[in-house]
Amino acid sequence: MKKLLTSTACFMVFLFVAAQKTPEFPKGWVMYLQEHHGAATNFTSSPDLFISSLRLSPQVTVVPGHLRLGGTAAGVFTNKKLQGAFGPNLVVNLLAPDVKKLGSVLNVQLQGEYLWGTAQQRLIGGLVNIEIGQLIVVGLSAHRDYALNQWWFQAGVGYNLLHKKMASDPLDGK
Amino acid sequence: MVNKLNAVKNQIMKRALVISGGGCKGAFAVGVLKNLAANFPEITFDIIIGTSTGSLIAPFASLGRIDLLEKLYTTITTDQVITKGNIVARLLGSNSLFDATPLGNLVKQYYTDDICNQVMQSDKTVFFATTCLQTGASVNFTNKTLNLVSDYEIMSVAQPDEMRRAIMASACQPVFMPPIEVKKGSTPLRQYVDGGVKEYAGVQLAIDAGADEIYTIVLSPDTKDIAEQNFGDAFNILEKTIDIFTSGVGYNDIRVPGIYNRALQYIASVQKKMRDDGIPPASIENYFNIPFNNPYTGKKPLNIYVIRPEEALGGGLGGLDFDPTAMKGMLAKGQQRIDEFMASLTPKPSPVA
Repeated sequence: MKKLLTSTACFMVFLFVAAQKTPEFPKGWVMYLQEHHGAATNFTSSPDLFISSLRLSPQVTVVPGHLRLGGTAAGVFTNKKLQGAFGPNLVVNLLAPDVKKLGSVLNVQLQGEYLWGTAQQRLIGGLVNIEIGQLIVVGLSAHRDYALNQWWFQAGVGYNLLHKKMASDPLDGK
Repeated sequence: MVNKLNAVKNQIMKRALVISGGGCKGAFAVGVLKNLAANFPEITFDIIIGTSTGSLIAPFASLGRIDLLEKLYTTITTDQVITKGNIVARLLGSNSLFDATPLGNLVKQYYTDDICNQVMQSDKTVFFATTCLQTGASVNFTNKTLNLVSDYEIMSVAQPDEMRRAIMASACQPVFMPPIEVKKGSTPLRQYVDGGVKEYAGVQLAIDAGADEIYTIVLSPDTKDIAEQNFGDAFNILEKTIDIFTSGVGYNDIRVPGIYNRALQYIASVQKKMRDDGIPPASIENYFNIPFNNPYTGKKPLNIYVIRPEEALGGGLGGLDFDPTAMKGMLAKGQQRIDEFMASLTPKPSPVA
């Protein structure tokens, strides 16, 4: 176990260093509206419950190229009920390949978050996302609800609502 | 005696310096100018024409600030010129693949109001070659108010900010870098990009501006670069296409004025032969006074010298790999090349035609 953790830590450091000069995670804000679907399960009862969520995640880059901090507000539909979940999140850029020295196209990111649910849920979990063109994310998520002893597994897609045209006059820049 | 002759020559001749585009390969041109200034100080230029990186060099060349050019072209890195971004995001939300704000900041830092005013008040005529995206015309911005008969559009820059914008526009390779409004806010909208889109080296403009002797620094070699490889990758094909396009434009920029110059030399030789055979000058003039739009009226043969590297300098796609070590090497090659070239001119210049 210790060996696995050490290897994982080394791998994370490697990816972090590799992503150092990436144009991904530029300064400023993103706000992804994501639609996720999946299952809520406790691995004992059958069948698992269908879960669907609409998530709004505003995030700001705090370490350009590396780290964004933000929050999540989600409307969750499961067990024929509409519920809410809210909490902070943190996103780390794991990998952003350079394409022919012209720049990047996508990044692979790991998002960790803690959510308080309106139906007594206490969720800790994360998402592995692929963010394409700083515009769209596709990803998988897993959350552990340690208050209700349940797991949420979902997959989804999102769109950056703050995507906008960039400044274009190099002599007006700072 | 030689200096005296040069002094007389300087008084009657108009000498032009033409510097082509090539991004970081401008270091080669700086090397040429460095040794030219150090070893042949009698060679001065009345007209300086820059395209792209040549436009970044031209103002300081006109002021004799080779030291500053050497500093710039041996220390700057790619990050100080462009910022790379997410390709998809930039294609969807911007007007260029790269953000040229770092180059904009360099231009503002080095081409200060004071420097621009010195260039505008200088007795030298400096041109910055651009291409207008709206009209597709070759537009040359200049520090002087001129009334040239030329196929090019000539526009004066009236203030330092316009000069910086003209330099920047000339340096901005389209698609990779954004177009620039030189006269910002003016209507109709006119955006300008690198003059190298249409003309890599402004030799014809130098002729139109009345130059008798033209030193052209071209930043690519004359030799055909044969790439024995399979072009199976779109990026490699794009890179090679840009290379072929640039070489082709550059070849024609020199070839066409060369053909024109050869025709002038031929006419001058025929006229001399007629004079030697005893035909009166008035009759000779009459023979050559053909009543139509004669492209040779009032023109005389020129000396057009081309200084270029013997082999490709590198520098990456569009010359945008600014690597100080490589650029120092390019500068040294420029120094060596001009020394060899000037030695080859002694004792009798042999113009390129």
